[in-house]
Amino acid sequence: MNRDLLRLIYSRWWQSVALAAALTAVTGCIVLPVPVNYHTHGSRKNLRSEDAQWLVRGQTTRKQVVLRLGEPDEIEDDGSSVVYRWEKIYLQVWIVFWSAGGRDDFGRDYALELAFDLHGTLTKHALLKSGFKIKPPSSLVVTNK
Amino acid sequence: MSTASAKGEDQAAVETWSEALHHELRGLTPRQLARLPPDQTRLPAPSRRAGHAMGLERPKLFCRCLTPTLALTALLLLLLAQGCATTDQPLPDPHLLNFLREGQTKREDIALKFGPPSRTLEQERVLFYRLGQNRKGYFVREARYENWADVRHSLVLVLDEHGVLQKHSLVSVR
Repeated sequence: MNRDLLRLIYSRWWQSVALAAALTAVTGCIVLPVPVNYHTHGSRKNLRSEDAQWLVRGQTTRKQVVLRLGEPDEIEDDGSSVVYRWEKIYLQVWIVFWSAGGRDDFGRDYALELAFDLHGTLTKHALLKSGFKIKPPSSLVVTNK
Repeated sequence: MSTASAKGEDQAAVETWSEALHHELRGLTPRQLARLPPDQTRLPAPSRRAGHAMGLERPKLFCRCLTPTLALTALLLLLLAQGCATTDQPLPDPHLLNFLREGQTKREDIALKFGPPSRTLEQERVLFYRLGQNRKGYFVREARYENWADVRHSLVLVLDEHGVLQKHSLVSVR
């Protein structure tokens, strides 16, 4: 082996070890994380985390809510509470092997829960979000019930 | 036994036909052959059954492009394709929402135009419809879809105590 190269490796031994370790770790497999920001295929897109700010307890009515946000995803039988749900993807992890590959999507579920009194006035609301979790890629989402 | 003898007769007929044709045309120069009208270069052909026995002709049950295997495959694909056929694609209408008039439109008119709503609230005083939209206009999506794929708008209709449209809103959800 070239003496200069050996000398270089000995002089920077810790960098060489790190490089060797990294090369060993990725042998035959490439993992590529890609930051993204989009809604899942079947999710509604008209809601954001900031959309809870215009809601005022004791003032906002159920009719105002639905006229602004549209049909809720869940409705209690007596209409005392409604829930709007949406899902977002924040990270795609592409894994490429020699002859195959795949992708995992990581995202969050959001839920805006609203409760109303007998007169249809907002009594409380909460914006809930789940932790990061793996979601099926859009092409695998089943749209029928 | 009778089949074997028939086959032999067919083969003999073909051989006779072939020899006669060869004999007739033998001795003619290529120029003379070219001058002959097409019907003189052919003798009456042997029976179709005989030709088929010699591999000269396909049976007429199927045309040349449609072999039995191909026909069966096509039939099988047609039967399987029944599961892929969709007939529930509604016709888009650019003026679908034009009939909605606050203070005028009645519940019955809405039901006749849109059908059953996807959800209701407040004893059916608030009606929700899911609408799709393309370049040709709006169309009502059936409520059997759980998520919002293929839905563009949520139409919210608020009726008064007499069942007359009080307010409405077209919310873009996608």
